[in-house]
Amino acid sequence: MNTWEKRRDRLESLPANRWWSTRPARRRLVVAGTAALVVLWAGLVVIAQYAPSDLARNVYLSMFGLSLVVGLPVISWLHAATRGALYLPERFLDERQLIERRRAYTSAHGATTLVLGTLFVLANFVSWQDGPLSITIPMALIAPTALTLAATHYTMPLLIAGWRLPDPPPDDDEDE
Amino acid sequence: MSNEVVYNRIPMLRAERGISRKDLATALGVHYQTVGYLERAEYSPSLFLALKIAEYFEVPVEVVFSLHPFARLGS
Repeated sequence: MNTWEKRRDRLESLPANRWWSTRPARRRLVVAGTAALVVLWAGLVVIAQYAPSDLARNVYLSMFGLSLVVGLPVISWLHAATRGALYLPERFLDERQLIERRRAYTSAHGATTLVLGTLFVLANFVSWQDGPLSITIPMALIAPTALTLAATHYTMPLLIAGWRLPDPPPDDDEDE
Repeated sequence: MSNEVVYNRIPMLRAERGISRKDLATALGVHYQTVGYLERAEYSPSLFLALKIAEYFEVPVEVVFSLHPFARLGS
C-alpha cells in the first residue's frame, strides 16, 4: 500500500467524516474558514496602516495566530468531509468526485480572479490618493501579502466544494 | 448539478440481490457515496458507468436507467 492509498484510507476512517457530514454542519465549517481568511486579509490592513511599529507586529501576529488556529483544523475537516475530492490525486477519485473537484476549481478560479482584480483596483486607488504614486508601502507588507494570497488560492476551492456538496447518502448500516 | 434527472432502479436491483452499497461500489470501482447519489438521482452517471452498472446486474441498460419515472410495480 503506497502513501496515497494510506492517506485515502485514513481520510475514510476519520471521525470528522461523521461530524461534518451534513450540509448545515459543513457550511458552518466553511463560514469559520472564510472568517479565518478574512482575519488574514484584515491583518494586511493593520500592517499597511501601522507598520513599522511594535503595535503592527503584535496585532498582526495575533491575527495570524488566530487565523492559523481556526484555519488549519477547518482545512483538515473540510478535506475529510469532501472525502479528499480536492486532496487526493485524480487516480483515486471516481467520475463524480472528479466532476466535483473540477467544478470547485472552476468556481474558485473565478472567485480568486475577482479578489485579485479588486486588489489591483484598490492598490491603484490607494497609491494615487494624494497624487501619483504618493504613498510608501511598508516592506513588512510583502511577505504577509504573498502568504495571504497563497492561503486564499489554496483554500478557495475547498471552501467552495464544502459549501456546495449535498447531504451524503446514509451509510448501508443506517438504512438497512 | 444538472437539472436533467436520470431515473434508475439501482436500489430495487440492489435490494433484490442483497448487495450492499459498498459491495456495488467496489465492483464498479467508485466511491460508495457515488452509489448513494446515483440512487437518489442526484448524480447522472456517464455512459460508461451506466453500462458497467447494467452489466453488473446482467440486465439491459434501459432496465436500470430511464429519462422518465419508472412505473410502480403492480400499476
